[in-house]
Amino acid sequence: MRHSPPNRDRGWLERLFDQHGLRVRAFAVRRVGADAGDDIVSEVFISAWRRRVDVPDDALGWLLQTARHAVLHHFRSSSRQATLRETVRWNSHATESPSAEDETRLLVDSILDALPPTDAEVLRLTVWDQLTPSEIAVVLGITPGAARTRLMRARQSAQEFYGASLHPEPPSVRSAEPCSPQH
Amino acid sequence: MNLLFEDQMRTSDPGASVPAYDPDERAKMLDEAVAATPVRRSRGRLLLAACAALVVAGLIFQSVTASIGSAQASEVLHQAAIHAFDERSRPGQYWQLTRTGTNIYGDQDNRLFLVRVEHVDYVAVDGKRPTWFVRGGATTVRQLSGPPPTGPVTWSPGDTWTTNLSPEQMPAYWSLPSPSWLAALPRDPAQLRARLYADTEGRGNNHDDEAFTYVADVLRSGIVPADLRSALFEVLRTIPGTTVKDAEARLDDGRVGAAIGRNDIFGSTGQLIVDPDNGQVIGERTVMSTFFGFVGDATLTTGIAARLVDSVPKNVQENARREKCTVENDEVRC
Repeated sequence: MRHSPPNRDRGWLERLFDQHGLRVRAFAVRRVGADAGDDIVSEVFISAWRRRVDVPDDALGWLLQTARHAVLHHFRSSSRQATLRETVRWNSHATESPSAEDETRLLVDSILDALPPTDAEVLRLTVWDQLTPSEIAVVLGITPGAARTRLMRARQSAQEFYGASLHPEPPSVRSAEPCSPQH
Repeated sequence: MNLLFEDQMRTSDPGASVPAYDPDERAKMLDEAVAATPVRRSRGRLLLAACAALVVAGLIFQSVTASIGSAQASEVLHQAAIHAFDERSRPGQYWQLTRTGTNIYGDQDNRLFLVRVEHVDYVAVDGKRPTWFVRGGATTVRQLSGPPPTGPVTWSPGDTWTTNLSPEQMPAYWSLPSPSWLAALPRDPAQLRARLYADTEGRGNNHDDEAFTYVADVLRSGIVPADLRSALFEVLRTIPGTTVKDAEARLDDGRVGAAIGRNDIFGSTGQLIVDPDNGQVIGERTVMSTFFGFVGDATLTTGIAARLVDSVPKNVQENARREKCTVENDEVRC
């Protein structure tokens, strides 16, 4: 039978919330938007309280992994298929001249979409959520070594995609056929 | 122009300007967290009690409880999917998987006995070192059928062995997964479901029964990582007829979970016992129906416990038989 440690009372939860609530909120907003993000945060801290025996002292990874599972469930729900990204895209298509911010976000999203999903998530966790490979390993359930390998690969691929988007190769370079002389 | 992709990511960070919760929002969220109760179990009990009071016809009762069972299963599996979490392993460690439970053994005089058994496996976390198997001897709980025995009933004393092959060197499938086989399964529930139903196509008497069985097989292995468990729980939610058979299935060691299963064509059920609070399959049980008249009603329950250990115990290594095995045509021969 599990028993709650004596210091895992409401004060503990408040300290946990004050220490990590903003990062959990930012994590959720990045993935599902502001409105649904607060539902995710609520779910995470309900879980933390319910499972306070299991929450490690170094709790950020546990909290973000719980948030990640809640986010995944959010996207699995058939009534919530429109992702934040799709919403942004829809909105940008609806306006005649998308802002520079929208264009940057679309470019970033398209490059992240082109990466293997776990590699893209490693990059998001590094750049946006500012986690170390060891913390990423906890969130994704992989080894720190695998997190470092994926991070290196993701950085390299993303930078290559980004470079290609800035300097697209002319068609003649990719063509296997010799160029015809111009007359 | 900014030429580093990561700088562009930072520029477009949708969470960069997220504000901290104000005092009212903070208090509300903390109040909700502390006040929240594990509704999935208590709600099931209340609903079942309420329905029981209202039922006037058995048929109506069956229909209502089946519907509640399905909704309850969906909720339990949803919670399990969210809460799936793994202790972080280190290279060189093993999963110690202990399965303790009851089974039915028969003797040469056609007597059947309910017996208690314990199996312990040591599975390398990387799948690259051979697994060690410890099979404890059975102890009789009670006799189920047949004439009274004329003397003491004894069973074989158990066995301990290992092989020269690691899980990664053996063919892997749903009932015998290896870490790399598990790693290659899709994590998207829709894709995973498609894979499951493709692999079970044409097998068994019922496609949904077989899909449930395959998921139970792989979860029973005890080595499914948290992200895949989460996806598998989501897939289970979509298998028609999957219901909560017992909202509070209790294991011998005191652990409690929700027993989730389906009725097979004989009326007996194979059930997974899922703890929604930690996203783990903590056991399984088979409820034998009266169809098996020679046995009568019996519930066989097995608890599954997994923990990380740094090494295989010395006595296991010293006592184990070493099986020499080969792989031929995707089959292991020892």
